[in-house]
Amino acid sequence: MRSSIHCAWVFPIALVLPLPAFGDPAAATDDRRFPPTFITIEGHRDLTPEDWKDPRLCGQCHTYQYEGWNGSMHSNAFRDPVFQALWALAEKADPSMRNHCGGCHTPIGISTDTVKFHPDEPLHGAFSAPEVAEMGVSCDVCHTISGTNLQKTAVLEHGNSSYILNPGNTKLASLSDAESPYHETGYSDHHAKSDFCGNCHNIFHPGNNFPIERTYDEWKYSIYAQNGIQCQDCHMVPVDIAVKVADTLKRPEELDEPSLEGFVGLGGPWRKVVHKHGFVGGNAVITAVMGKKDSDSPEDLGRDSNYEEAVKRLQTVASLKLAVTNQGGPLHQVKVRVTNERAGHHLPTSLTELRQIWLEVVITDNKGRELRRSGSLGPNNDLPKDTMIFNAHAVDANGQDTHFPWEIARFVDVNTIPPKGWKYAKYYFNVPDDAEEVKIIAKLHYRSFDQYIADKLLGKGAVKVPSVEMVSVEETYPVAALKAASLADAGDHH
Amino acid sequence: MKTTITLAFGLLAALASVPAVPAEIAPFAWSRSTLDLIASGDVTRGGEIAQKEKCQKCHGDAGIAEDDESTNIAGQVAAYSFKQLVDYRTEVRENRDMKKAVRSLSLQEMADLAAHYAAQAPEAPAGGVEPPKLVTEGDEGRLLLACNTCHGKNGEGMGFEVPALAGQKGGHFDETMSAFRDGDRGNDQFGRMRFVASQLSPKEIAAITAFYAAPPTEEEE
Repeated sequence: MRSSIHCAWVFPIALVLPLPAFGDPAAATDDRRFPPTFITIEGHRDLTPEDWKDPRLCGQCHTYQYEGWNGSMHSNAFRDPVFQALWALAEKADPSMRNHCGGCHTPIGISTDTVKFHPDEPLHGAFSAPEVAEMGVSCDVCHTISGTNLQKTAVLEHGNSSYILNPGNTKLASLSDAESPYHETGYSDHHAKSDFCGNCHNIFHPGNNFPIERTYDEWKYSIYAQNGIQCQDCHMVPVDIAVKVADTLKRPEELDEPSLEGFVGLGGPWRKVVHKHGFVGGNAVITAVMGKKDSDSPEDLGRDSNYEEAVKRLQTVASLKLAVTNQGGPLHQVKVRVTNERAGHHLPTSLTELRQIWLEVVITDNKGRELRRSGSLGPNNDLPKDTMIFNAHAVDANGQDTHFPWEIARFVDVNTIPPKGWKYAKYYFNVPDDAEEVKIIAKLHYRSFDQYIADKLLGKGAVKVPSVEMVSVEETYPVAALKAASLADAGDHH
Repeated sequence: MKTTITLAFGLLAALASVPAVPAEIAPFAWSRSTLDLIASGDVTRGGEIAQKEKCQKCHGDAGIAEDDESTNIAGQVAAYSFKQLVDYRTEVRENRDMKKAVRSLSLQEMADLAAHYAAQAPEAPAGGVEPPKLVTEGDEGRLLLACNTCHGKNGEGMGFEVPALAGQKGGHFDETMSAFRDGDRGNDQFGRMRFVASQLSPKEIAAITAFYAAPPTEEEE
C-alpha cells in the first residue's frame, strides 16, 4: 500500500518537473545558461570580466606556477590560431559551437558572455574577448572551480565544460593548510583528481552525444586509475618525474624526489611537492609557435620551455620492438610492436581523428638496396597510403569522412594504443638471393595534424606542419640465421 | 743534494704560507639541504665571525649601519641574508666590498652570520609617514601587488624568501630599488623585484622609501 502511494506521488511530479535539456543546444535554462556546455555559476549570478584576476598578478607570488603556465596550451587555449580557425568554421556551421568550444578554451569569455565573432576576418573568421578572457584557461579559472556538473551531462560523465564556477576572493587548491596574505584559501580535493581535468578533457558531441575526445575515459579504465595515479601526477611534474610515475605507478608524493620540493607561494612554507602548471602533453606545434620567448621581461617567463617539455614527453612515451621471420623462400616479415609505455591515456588522445602517430619503416640489405619503405613523408608533407597511422577514422552522419569534430557521428576505425598496451604493424619484404644481411630501421613519429588540415585551417602553404620523431630502433639481421630459424620452426611444427 | 733538499723544503714552506683556497660554492638554490643549513646557523658563532670579519665597520656593532647608504642587517630574515652572502660569493650579486668580505667564508659561517644578525633587534622606521597606496593596495592596473602583501603588514618580511623592509636605511633602500629598476641588480628569483621596480617612478620609490626607512643618520641631517 505504501509503495503505491509513493508511485502515485512520483508520477504527477515527474510530469510537472521540466526535463533537463540534454543534447538540446538551443535550450538555455537557469541550470544551463551557456548551452550546450554544462557550466554553472555558484548562486546563478551574472559575471563580468572584472570578476577575474589577471594571471600575471597571480604570478607575482606563484611565479614557478606562472612560469609553467605562461606559453602553455592552457595559456594559449583561446589564441591558438589552429583552434581559432577550427572554431570559426564550427561557428559558421552551427553558432552553438561558440559556447561548446569556448566553454573549455575561454571559460571567462563564455561565462561572461563577452566572446565576439568576426566572420570577415581572414581566413575563416576570428574571435575576440576581453584581455583576461583571451588568456585562456588561466589561474583564476581553475582555482575558482568549486565543483562538477557531471550528473547533469547527457552521458552522466565529466565533460563538455561540466564545471561550476565561483570567482571571488577564495582560491581553491589541494593544500589543506594554505594561507595567503592576498586572498582567502579553500581546500578542494577535486583539484587533485583527474575528475577535475575530465570536466574539459572529455568531449562528446552535443547533438548526438558521440564521445569524440575521450582522454578522461581512457584514463578512467586504465591501470593508472586503478593505482590511483591522477592526470596531475604526470602532467604537473617535470617529464623525468612523469617517467618515474609511469614506470612505478607511484604518485609523485611517494617517490621522495627532492627536485619536486619548493615554495608554492612567495613567503610560504617549504612543500614536499610543488606542481608545475604547464600541463604539457604532446602539442609541440603550438607550443613552438606561441610558446616562444619574445623577450627577457618577466612576462615572458618560461615561455620557451613548454615546447622542449612537449618534445621530451613525446620521446619518452613509447617504445618499439622488432621481430623478423622468414616466411618461406625470399619472403620475410617484420613485426613492429608499438607500446604505449608511459601515457595514462591512449596514444594519441584528444582529437584522435586529427592527431597522427605513425610508423616509418625502411628495410635495406648489405648491398644498400632498399627492400621496403613505408611511412616516409612525401614532398608535400603527406603520408603514403600504406602508412600505419595510430589514430581514429571519423565519419559524419552520412558516412562521409570528416576531420571536423562538429560533424562527427561515429568512428569507423579506432587504432589508438591504450595505456600500457601495444599494437603491431606487419611489413613484408623479399630478400635477394645474394643478400647476407638486412637492416631494419623503424621510427615512430608524431604530429598534431596533417598538412591537409593545416592548409585548410591556416591557408595553403601558410605553415609546414612539423613532426617529432618519438622513438626509433635499428636492427641488423643475418639472412642465413633468419632462414635457419625458419627451418627450425618448421621442424618443430612437423 | 743539499740544494735539492733545501729547494724541496722551501717549496713546502711556501705552499704552507699560501692561505687555503676556499672551496668553490655553487650558485644559490632553494632546497631542503639549503634550508637545513640555514636552520643550523648558530647565533653565538655568528657573532664571533662578525667580530673577526669586522662586519661592524659597515653594518654597525649590532647590524645597524652608521651611515645612510649602508645596509641595516639587524633583524633581517636569516634565509634572505644567507642567500645574499652566497650571491656575493658567486657574483650573482655584484659588490666589490662584499665580494671581498665573503671570499673566505664557508657556507656554515654564512649561515652563522645570517642567524646572528637575524637575532639582533632591527632599527625602527622613522614613522610619521602615512603608507602610500602602493604599500597598502598596490596598483593592479600595473600588475603591482601591495608591498605589504609580500613584505608583511609591517614590512617585517615573510617566510624564507622575502626580506624585511621596515627600518632599512633610506639611502640603501632607494639605491636598491633603483638598481632593480635599472637592471643593475638581478639576484631576485624570477625577476620579481626587477618587474616591480620597473613599474615605479623615482617619485614613487621615494615615497615608499620614506615610509619604510629608518631615521636618517646624523651625518645626513
